[in-house]
Amino acid sequence: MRINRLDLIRYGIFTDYSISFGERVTEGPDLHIIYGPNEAGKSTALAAFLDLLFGIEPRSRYGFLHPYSTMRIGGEIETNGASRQFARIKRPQSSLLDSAGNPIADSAILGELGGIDRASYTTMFSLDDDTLEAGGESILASKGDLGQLLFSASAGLSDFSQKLVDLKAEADGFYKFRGRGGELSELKTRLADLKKKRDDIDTMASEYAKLIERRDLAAGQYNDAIAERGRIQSRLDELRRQLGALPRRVALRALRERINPLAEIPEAPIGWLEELPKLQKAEVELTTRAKGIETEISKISGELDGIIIDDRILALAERIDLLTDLRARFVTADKDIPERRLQQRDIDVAIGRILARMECDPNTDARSLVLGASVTGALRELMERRSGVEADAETAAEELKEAQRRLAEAQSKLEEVGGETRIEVSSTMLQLATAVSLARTDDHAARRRLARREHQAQLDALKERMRALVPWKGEAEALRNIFVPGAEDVERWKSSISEAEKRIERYDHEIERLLTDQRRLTAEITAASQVIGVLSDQQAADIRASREEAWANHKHTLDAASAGVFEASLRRDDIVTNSRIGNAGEVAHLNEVSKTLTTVNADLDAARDSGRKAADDLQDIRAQIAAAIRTIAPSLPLNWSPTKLESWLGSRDKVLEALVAAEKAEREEREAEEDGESVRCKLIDAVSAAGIKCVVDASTEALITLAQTAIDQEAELRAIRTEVDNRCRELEARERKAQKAKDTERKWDDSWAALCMTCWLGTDRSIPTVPTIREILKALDELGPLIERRASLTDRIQKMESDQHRFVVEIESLATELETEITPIPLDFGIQIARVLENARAAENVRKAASARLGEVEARRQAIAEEKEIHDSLKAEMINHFMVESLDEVDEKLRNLARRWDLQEQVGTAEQEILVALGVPSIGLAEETLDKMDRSAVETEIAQLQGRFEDQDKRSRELFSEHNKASDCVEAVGGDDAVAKIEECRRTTLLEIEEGARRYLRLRLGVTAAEQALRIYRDQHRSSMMARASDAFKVISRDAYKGLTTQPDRDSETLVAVGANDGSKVASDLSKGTRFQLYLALRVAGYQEFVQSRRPVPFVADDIMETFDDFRAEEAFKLFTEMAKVGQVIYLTHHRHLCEIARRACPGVQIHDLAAD
Amino acid sequence: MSGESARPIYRTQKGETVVYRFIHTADIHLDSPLRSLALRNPELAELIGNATRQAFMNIIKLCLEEQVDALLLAGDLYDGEQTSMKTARFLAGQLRRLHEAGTRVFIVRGNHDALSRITQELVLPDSVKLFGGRADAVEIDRGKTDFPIVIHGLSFAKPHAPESLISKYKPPVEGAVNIGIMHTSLGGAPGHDLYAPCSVADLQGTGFRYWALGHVHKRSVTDGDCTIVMPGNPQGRDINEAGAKSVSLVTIGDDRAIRVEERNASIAQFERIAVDATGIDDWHNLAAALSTSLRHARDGMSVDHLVARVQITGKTSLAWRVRRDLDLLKAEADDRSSVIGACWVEKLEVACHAPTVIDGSGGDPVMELRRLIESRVGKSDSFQQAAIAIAEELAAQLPPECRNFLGAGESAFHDVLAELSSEGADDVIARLHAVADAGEA
Repeated sequence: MRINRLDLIRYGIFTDYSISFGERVTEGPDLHIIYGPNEAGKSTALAAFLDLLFGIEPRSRYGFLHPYSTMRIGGEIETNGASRQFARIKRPQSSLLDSAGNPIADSAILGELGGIDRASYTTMFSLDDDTLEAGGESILASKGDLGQLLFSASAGLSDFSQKLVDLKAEADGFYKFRGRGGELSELKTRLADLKKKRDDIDTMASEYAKLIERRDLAAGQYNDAIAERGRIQSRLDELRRQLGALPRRVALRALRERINPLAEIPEAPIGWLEELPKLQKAEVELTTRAKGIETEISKISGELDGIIIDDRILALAERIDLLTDLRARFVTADKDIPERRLQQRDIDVAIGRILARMECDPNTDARSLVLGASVTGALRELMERRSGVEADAETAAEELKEAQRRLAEAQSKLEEVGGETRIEVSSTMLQLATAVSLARTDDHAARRRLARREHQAQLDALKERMRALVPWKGEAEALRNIFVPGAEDVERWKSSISEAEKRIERYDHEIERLLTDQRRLTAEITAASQVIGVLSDQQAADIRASREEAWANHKHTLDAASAGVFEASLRRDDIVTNSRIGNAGEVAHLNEVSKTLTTVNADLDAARDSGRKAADDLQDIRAQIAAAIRTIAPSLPLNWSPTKLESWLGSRDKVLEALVAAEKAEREEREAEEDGESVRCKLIDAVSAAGIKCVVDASTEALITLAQTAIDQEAELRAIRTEVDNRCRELEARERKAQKAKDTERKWDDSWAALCMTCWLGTDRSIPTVPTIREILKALDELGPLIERRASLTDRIQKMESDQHRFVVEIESLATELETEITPIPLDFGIQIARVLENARAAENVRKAASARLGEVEARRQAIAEEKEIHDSLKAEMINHFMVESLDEVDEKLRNLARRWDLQEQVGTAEQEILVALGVPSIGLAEETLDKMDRSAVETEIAQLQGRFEDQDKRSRELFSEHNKASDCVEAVGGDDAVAKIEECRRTTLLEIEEGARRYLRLRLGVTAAEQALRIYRDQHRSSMMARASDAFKVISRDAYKGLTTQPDRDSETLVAVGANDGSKVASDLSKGTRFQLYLALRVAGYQEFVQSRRPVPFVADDIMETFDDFRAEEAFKLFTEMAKVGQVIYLTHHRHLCEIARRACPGVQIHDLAAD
Repeated sequence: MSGESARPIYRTQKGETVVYRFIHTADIHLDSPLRSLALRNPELAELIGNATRQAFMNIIKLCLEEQVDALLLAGDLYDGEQTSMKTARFLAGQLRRLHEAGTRVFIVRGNHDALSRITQELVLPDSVKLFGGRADAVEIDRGKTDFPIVIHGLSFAKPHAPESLISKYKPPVEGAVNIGIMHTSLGGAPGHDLYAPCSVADLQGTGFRYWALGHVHKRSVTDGDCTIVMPGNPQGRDINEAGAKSVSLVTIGDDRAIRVEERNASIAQFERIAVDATGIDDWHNLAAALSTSLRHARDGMSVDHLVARVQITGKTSLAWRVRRDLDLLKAEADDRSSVIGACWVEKLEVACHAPTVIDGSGGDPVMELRRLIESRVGKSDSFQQAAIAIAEELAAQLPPECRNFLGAGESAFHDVLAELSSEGADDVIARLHAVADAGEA
C-alpha cells in the first residue's frame, strides 16, 4: 500500500489542505521528508494519516476548529497496484467513503494492511517519540518470549496462544483429567440410567425359561388336584344314587300287581282309541243324508215335465239378429242420398271451367288429360335448364369478342417495338450478366486504397524510427545484415559491470578502513616506543645479540677497549632487561599492536589486489562491449554503456519491424491492382462476345454500364413477345367455349320437342312453347283433386242404394218362412219378430238349469253309498277282533287296554331310574344289588367322603390361583418395543460418546500440534528478526555496537547489546540515545520481516531522532533509504538540517515543506 | 386349506396364471437399534426409532395385502447379542397374524439366531416351518392337477459354519419347482462373517429353480434357470448400510416361470450425499447448494425418511470457514431439511479444500503453521508420544462398548491417531483463521 496524496479537508488546524507524495517513482527509494516548524501541523498530519486508515478516533483531539460532524479527511491510496480515492468522515459506522461519496467497507483499506490493527501499526510502523519509547520499553520489560512479542507485533496476530488455550478449554468441556462433571461424565451417567431402566422392565431369555417352567409345574399340580377331587365326587354321587333307588324299587313292585288282571285283553292298534267315537257318530249321519237326497230328486223331475219351447223361431234366431243392423242402414241411406247427388253436380261444373281454360273440348273426359309424373317431371326439369343454357350462350359470345380485341392490341405493341422475329436468349448474354455481377462484387479497388494508405504510413514510421538510430547512418535495409549482440549478452554485461563496480566500491571502503587502522597502529607503536624502556621483543633481541657479539670480541682480544665495549653492551642489556621487566604490560601491548599491524598490512595488500582485480574485470567487460559496438558499426561511440547499447538495439528492432510492415503493405497494393486488371479483361471478353462494340482500354465502370444497357433491352423485348403468345392462346380458348354453348342450346330444343310428342300435348297441335306448358301444368294441378272427389261421391251413392235393397229382400224372405203376413211397413215387422224370438230363448234357459241340478243331486247319492260301504267294513273288523256284538262293547274293551298300557309305562320308567342310579346293565342285577345293600354302611361312607371332598376342593382352588399367577407372569413379558427403544437410546448415547471423544481428540491433538508448530515458527522468525535488528543497530550506532544478542533468564529472555569492544550491556542500561537507536533498529527489523511476506505498508515517523547526533541520523536515513526501496517511508521533522542530512544519505529524497505550501 | 380356494387368481403380465407367490426376505435383525447421531433429535427418534421392527411390520402387512402364499425368512431374525424376550414375543405375534391369514412361513436360522438364546425360547404358530439341523423338504399342498412346489431348508445350529451346506440339502424333487432357503455368505462379502460359503455356480448346479438366500446385507440377484436372490436386509441400520433396501415378491407362473419384484418395506433410508462446493464463495450459496443436493436425493426416493450423511467436497474459498463453522452449517442443513420434509442430516463431513496451494514460503502465518505441523511436528517423536498419552488417557475413561473406536489393533490405533491428528490440525488452523479474520474485520 502507498499513500499518493493526503487531503486534510477539515481536520485540526487544516482546511482544504493537501500533501501530495506523487506517483511511485519506478527507480530509486520512495522516501519523503515533511518539513515544518513547530505548530505547522506535523503531528496533526500523522494523526490524520492514521485516522484515514483506521477511522477517526471517537475522542479525537482534532475537532477544535471543525466540529466532529464536519471533520473530513481524504486521500489517494494505491492498493494492490491501483490508485483509489477515499474519504473518511467521523461516525461510528460506514465512515469510509469512495470517490463518489458512497460508504464502502473498511476492508478496502484494511485488507491491504495484512491484518495489522491500529495499535500494532502505531507500535511498529507509525512512530513518534512516545510510541517509539513506549513500544521499546514494552520489549525490554517483556517477561515473556521476546520472539513471540516481535512476531506478534509484526504479524498483528497476538492472541494465537490465547486462542489455543481457549480451544483446549473447549476440549476439557468434554473430559478433563481428574476433573468433575463434563460431557463424557454426563453421557456415562445417562448410559447407566438407561441400563437400569432396561433391567427393570426387561425379561431375559433365561429368566423367561424359568417363568415357563414355573407355569408348567403349577399347571401339572393343579390338574392332579382336580382329578382327585373328581374321583371323590363320582364315588359320592354313586352312593347317593344307590340310596335314592331304594324307594323306586317298592313302587315298581306295586305297579306290577296292578297290571296282572288286565293281561287277558288282546292287543289292538293304538289308533282305535281315537277312531271308535268317530265311527259311532258317522253311522247316524249317513242314514240321515241318504233320506234327504231321495226327496230332492223327485222334486226336480216334476219341474222339468212342466216346460214348453217354440223351436221354429229359434232356428231363425241368427238371421233375425242380423236384421236389426240392416234396418239401421236403410234408415241412414234414406237421409244421405239426395245430399250427395247435389255435391256431385257442383264438381262437374268446376271441371267444365278448367277444361275451357285449357282450350279443350268441353266433352272431353277430364281424366284423359292428366299427365303422368315422368312427363311433368321431365318438362319441369327442361324448363329450369332453359334459362341457364341461354345465359351461357350469351356470355361465351361476349368473351370471344373481348379476346379478339386484346390480341390485336398486343400485336400492335410488338410491331411498335419492331421485333417480329423470335430469338432465343443467347448464352453470350448470360455470360455477360455473370461477368457484370462478378465485376460489381469485386473488392480490389477498396483493398488497393487501404494497402496504399498503409504503405505510406509504414514508410513514415520507418523514417521516424530511423532517427532514433543516430549517430548510426545508412539505409534501413543495411540494418538487417549487421551482426548484433544478443539480449542475454547485454544483460550479462550489465550485471557484470554492476557487480564489478560494487566490488570496487567495497574494496575501496575496505582499503580506507585498513589504512585508518594502519595509521592508528603505527601511531600506537610510536607512542609506546617513546615510553622509556619499552622496547619490542625484536629490539630487545637486537641488544642481546650486540652484547653477545661484544663478549665474543672481548674474549678473543681480552683488552681494555673490548672490555669497555662489552661493559657498555652488558649494561645496556641489563637496563633494557630491567626496564622490560618493569614495563612488562606495555611491552606485551606493544607486541600485540605490532602483530595486529602486520595482519593489517597483509589485509591491506590483499584488499588492494582484489580491488585491482575488480578494476581489471571492469575494464575487460568494457572492452568486450566496445568490440561488440565496433562489429555493429565503427561510426558508433565505443564507450557506450550496456543500457545505451540495449536501447539502440531496441530502436533497431523497431526500425526492422516497420520495414517489414512497409514491404507487406506494398505487396498487398500490388496484388489488388493485378486483381482489378484481371476483372476488367474478363469484362471486355464478355462484352465482345455479346457483339457489343467497345474500346479496348475502356475502364471497368464504363464496361459495366455498356453491358447493363444491352442486358436491359434484351429483357424488355422478351417480355412483349411473351404477351402476344399468351393472347393468341386465350383467343383459341374463347372460340372453343362459344361453340360449346351453341351445341348445348340445340340439344335442349330437341329434347323439348321429343318430350311433348310423348303425350296429348303434341298430338294435334304444333309443339307448345315453354310458357304455354307452364300454364297447362298449373291447370292440371287444379284438375286432379276435383276428378278424385267426383269418383268418390259416385261410389258412395251406389253403396247406399244397394243396402236399402238388401233389407227389403230379407224381410220378405223371413215372412215367407214364418208363414206370416207382412204388415204394410216393413220396418215394424222387424221389431215384432224380434220380440217373439226373445220369449222362446227364455224358456230354453229355464229347462237347462233344472237338468243341471238333477245331475248334481244324483252324484251326491252315489257318494253317500260309497261312504257307507267303507264304514261297514271298519265296524266289522273291530267287532270281529274283540269277538263282541256292537261298537259299544268294543268301546269298553279299548278303555281297559289303555289303562294297561299306562301302567306298563310307569314300570318302565321306574326300572330305568333304578338302572341309571345303580349303573348296572340289567334290572335283574339291579334288584339283586338293592336287595343285598346295607343302608347304614352306605350312609357312613357318604359322610366320610363328603369331608374329603371339601378338603380337595379347597386345594385345587389354591393351585388354580397359583397357576394363573404364573401364566400372568409369562404373559406380562409382552411383545412391546420398550426395551428396543431403550437399546436404541443407549446406542445413540454410545455414538454421542464416540463423537464427543473424536471431537475431543481432534481438538487436543490439533492444539498440541499447533503449539509445537508455533514454537518452531517463533524460533525461526525470532532468529531472523534478531539478525536484522542486530545489523540495523550496528549501523545506527555507527559501529559503536557490534549488534544484539539475547540472554536466557529463567523463563524469559533479556536483550543484550554487544559493544564494539565486545563489552555487553543489558538494554536497559544503555544511554537514552542508544536505547532509542535500539528501539528504532527493532522497528526496522520488524518492517523488513513484515515486507518479506506481505505487501509493503507506509512507514511513518515523527521526529524520532531528537537524541541522535548528525552521524547517527545519517545512518538512520540510510536505513530508511533501504526500506524506501521496498515501501513508502515518510519522515516528519522540524529540523532543517535533517533535510540536508537526508539528502546526503538519499539524493532522491522528496522534501515537502508544510510551511511553504 | 380352505383359504387357498378363496385366493384370487393372479395373472402375470404375459397373461399366464400365477400359481404361487411368496415374499422372500432375510436379515431382519429385529430390534437391532439404528446407529445414527441423527437420532439425537427426539422427533426423528420417535419417527424412525426401532425401524427394524417397523420394517418387519411392513413386511407382514405386504404379505397380507398381496395375499401371498408364503413368507420365506432366510436367517438372522434378530441380533446375536439380543436376549430380550420382548423381541421374541413380538416376532411370534407378527407370525401369528400370518398364521391367521393362512399364509405359511418358512424360516432357516442364521448365525445371529444361533447365537441368541431367545431362539430356543420362542414358540411359533403351527403353520410356521422352522427348518432344523437336518435338511428337510416341504411339498406345498396344491391339488393333484398342478405341478408340485417343494421348499427346502436347513438351519445350522452353530454361529459358525466354515463349510458349504449345499451338499447337506435334499436332492430336488423330480418334476417339481424346487425352492431352497439358505443362510450363506456366498463367496464372502466385506463386513460380513464367513458363513456356509458357496459359489453361485454351486447353487446353479443344484437343480433348484430359486434360492432364497440371506446373510449379506446388500441385495444381489442372479437370473437364469436358477434364480438366486440375496435380498439384503429390509432396513438399513447405519450409513454403512446405505441405499435403497427391499424385499422380494416372487411369483411362479403356470408355465413355471419365476418373476422377482422388489418391494420397499423400510421406513428410513441412509444415503451419503456429496456436495461439490467448487466455485462457491458465498456462505448462502453453499447452503443453497446443500439444499439442492438434499432435495435432489429426496425426490428420487420412495421411502418415508431420508437420513443423509453429507460430505462437502471440492475447492472453495469457504473451506476454512466450513470447517470452523460446521455447527452453523449443520444448523442450516437441518433447517433446510425440515423445509424439504422427511429428510434428516445425521452428520456433515468436511472434505473440501481451500483453492490456494500451501507452499509456506511466506505470506499467511496461519498457513505456515499448518505447513510446519505437517512437515515438522506431525511425525516428531515428541508429538507422537503426547498424542498417544492423550488418546490412552481418554480411552481408559470410555465405556467398554466404545473402546474399539480407536481401532482394534496397534496399527489401526496409529492410523486412527494419525487421521485424528491431521483433522484436528485442520480444525485448529480453521479456528486460528477465525482469529486472523477477526483481526481483519
